Amino acid sequence: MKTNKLKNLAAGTIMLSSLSLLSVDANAENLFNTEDLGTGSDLRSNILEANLNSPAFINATIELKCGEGTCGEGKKKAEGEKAETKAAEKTGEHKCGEGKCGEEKKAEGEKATPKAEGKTGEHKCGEGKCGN
Amino acid sequence: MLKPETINQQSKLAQYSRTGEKQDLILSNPQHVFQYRRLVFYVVLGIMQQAFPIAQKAIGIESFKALVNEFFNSHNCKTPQVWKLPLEFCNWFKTSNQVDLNPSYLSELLYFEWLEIEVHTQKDTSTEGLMPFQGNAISSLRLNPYLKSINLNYPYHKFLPEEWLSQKAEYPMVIYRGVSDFKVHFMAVSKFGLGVIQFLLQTENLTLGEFLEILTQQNNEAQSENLQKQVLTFFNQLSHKGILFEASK
Repeated sequence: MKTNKLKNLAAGTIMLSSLSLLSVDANAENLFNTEDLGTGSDLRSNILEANLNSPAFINATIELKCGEGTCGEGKKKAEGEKAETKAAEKTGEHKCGEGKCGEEKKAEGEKATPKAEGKTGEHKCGEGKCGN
Repeated sequence: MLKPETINQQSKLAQYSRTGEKQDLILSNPQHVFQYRRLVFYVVLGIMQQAFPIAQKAIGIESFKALVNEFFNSHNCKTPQVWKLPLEFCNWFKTSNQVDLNPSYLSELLYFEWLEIEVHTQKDTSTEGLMPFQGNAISSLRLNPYLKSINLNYPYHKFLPEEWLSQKAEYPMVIYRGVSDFKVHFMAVSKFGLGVIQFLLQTENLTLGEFLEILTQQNNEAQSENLQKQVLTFFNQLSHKGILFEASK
C-alpha cells in the first residue's frame, strides 16, 4: 500500500517536476536559508521607506512636480517636503481604504495609534470599512 | 421597465464616466456632469493606489494614474467584487500594450502586491485537527491553508529600485496568513526550500516518513542523512512560523 503510494507519487507527471526540485547537493551551504520579512505592512514600509532617497523613486516623484497635477497634487508638493514625507508615510502604511479617514484619527492621539495600525496595516482589500 | 431612451442615456453617462469622452447627454446642468467622471475614476484610482503602493511609487503617481486611466477606459471590468479589481488590473496589464511602455518588473510587482490581498481575503477554511509539527513520522504534513508561493524575478525586498533590473535572478518567497493572528506574512526562502513547499502543496496527506523516503530516493544515499537533518530543521522553522503543521492520519 505504502509502496504503491510512493510509486504513484513518483509517477505523477506533476510530481516529477517537483521531485526534481528535491534533488540537491546536501552539502551545499544555505540549502534552507529563510528570511522573515515580516507582515505585509512591515515589508511595504521597509521597501518604501528604505527607497525614499532612491534616485529611481525620486525621479518618479519628480514627475509630480512638472505642473501636470490637475487635482492639487502639484500644490501639495510645493508646500514643502513635509507634505512629501507625510504622503510617503501614508502610502507605506495603509492599503486598505481606511487611510483617508484613519489617518486623521491617528493624529488625534497616540492611544488610537495601535488600533489604527492594527487595522490599516494589514488590509489591502477594502474590507476594512465594513468587515473589520 | 425603463424606457429605451433612459437606458440609452444611462449607458452614455456610464461611458462618459469611464472614458471622460463627451457623450450626447440630455443634461439639466451640463457643467456638473464632469463630477460623475471625477468621482468614479477616483474610486477606481483609490482602489489601485491602496492595492499597489510600491508599484505606484516606483513608476510615479502621474504614470500610475495614466495607467489606471487607460485600464478604466479600455477594459470592461467584469468582477462584481471591488476587492478583486486589482487582479483584473494585473491581468489587463500583462496583456496590454502598456507592458512595453513600463519597466519590465512592473507586471510581476503588480502581481506580487496583489498576492497579499489574495492571501488576506482568501476564504476561511477549517484548521481543525492541525497540530504543531512535532516530527512525528506517521503524521501527515499539512501546510498552512492560506499560503502562496512565488519565485520572484526581481528583488523588491533586497535592493533599491534602480538595482531591480540589474539584479534579476530568482528570489523565492512564501506569503501566508497566520492561522491565529490573521496577518499576512512574507518569508524569503531558498530555491530548494521553495521546491519542498511546492512539493508539499501538490501532495495530500503525505507523512513525514513518506516524504523523507522520497527525498532519500531522489538524492545520493550518502547525503541523505545530512539532508534529512536539514529538512527537519527547516520543517521546525516552518512550524515555528505557522507555515507547517501536522495532523493525525
